[in-house]
Amino acid sequence: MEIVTDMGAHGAYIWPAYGAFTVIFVGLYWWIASANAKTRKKLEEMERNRD
Amino acid sequence: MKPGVGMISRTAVTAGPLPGGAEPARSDAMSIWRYANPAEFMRVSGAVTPALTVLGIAALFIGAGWGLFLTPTHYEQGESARIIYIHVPSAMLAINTYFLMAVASIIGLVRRHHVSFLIAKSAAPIGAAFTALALITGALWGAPTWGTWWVWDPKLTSVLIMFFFYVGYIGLWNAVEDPDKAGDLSAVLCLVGVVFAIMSRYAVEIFDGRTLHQPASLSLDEEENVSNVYYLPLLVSIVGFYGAFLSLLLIRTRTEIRERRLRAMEMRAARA
Repeated sequence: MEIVTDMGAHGAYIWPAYGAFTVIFVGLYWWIASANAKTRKKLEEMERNRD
Repeated sequence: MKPGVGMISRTAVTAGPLPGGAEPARSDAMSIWRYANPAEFMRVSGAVTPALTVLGIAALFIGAGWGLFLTPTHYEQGESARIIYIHVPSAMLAINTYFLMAVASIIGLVRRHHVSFLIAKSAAPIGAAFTALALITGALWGAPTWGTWWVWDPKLTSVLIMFFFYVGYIGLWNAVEDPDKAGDLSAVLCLVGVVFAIMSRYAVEIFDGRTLHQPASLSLDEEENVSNVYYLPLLVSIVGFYGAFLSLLLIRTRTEIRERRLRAMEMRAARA
């Protein structure tokens, strides 16, 4: 199995496509995970204060 | 972790009765409806999410990396065919996420389960992101293959309108303050948009091939399917995309359940 790294002229379309994929995917995970951590922390604090 | 801290207790999520009434009956123990109980949903999702996240991301990068670097040049499309390993799974998820939202909305409207509404709400930004990715990668594939970034083809246009429905759905949820009313109104909006999800999926068949967009890359008919050398990495990539999607959906829904609990506690504190 040959590893292809030279995409020729189509590289101008392929690399931005994979770049968009990486940015959207990492951004989505970061946004969802950080919102989850923030809400969890806030809820923990509130429940601790209530106790 | 101390029991009850940061976790959702069986009766606590809405700071009142459980959605749909009281405790699930014993006969519901094997029913899928028990997951409509937020506490049960939190327990099960908390157990499966870490493994799902690791497996999804691993499959995603193996599939995409395999397709990008290790597949041979396509005889017709050339190197640009390497974009299908991210375009096809993102387009599949864009459409199927909308169908999932529609089913969750119907369940929410009919059975009044809050978790169903929250699943639909949580799926919307993920679906919108995958739709945006499908549109971007589709344009980047179309430019060298069709010679144009965009055409007002029935399939492409339906996907674009579906994207606007995603955005409208998210906007409506955020615009209405009462979460019950927001859930109902956005569920109706979601159901109106289902026609564009159906068009996005079946436009090529409905217009009997009179569209620029090619038919589905994957088929149960071996004759119509893409060759194995392209099919296997695509399949791994699709599995990865779905695994990552499920993990994102579960994490987001857990956040929404916690936020609802927080709101209920804040309102109770304000009243006291």
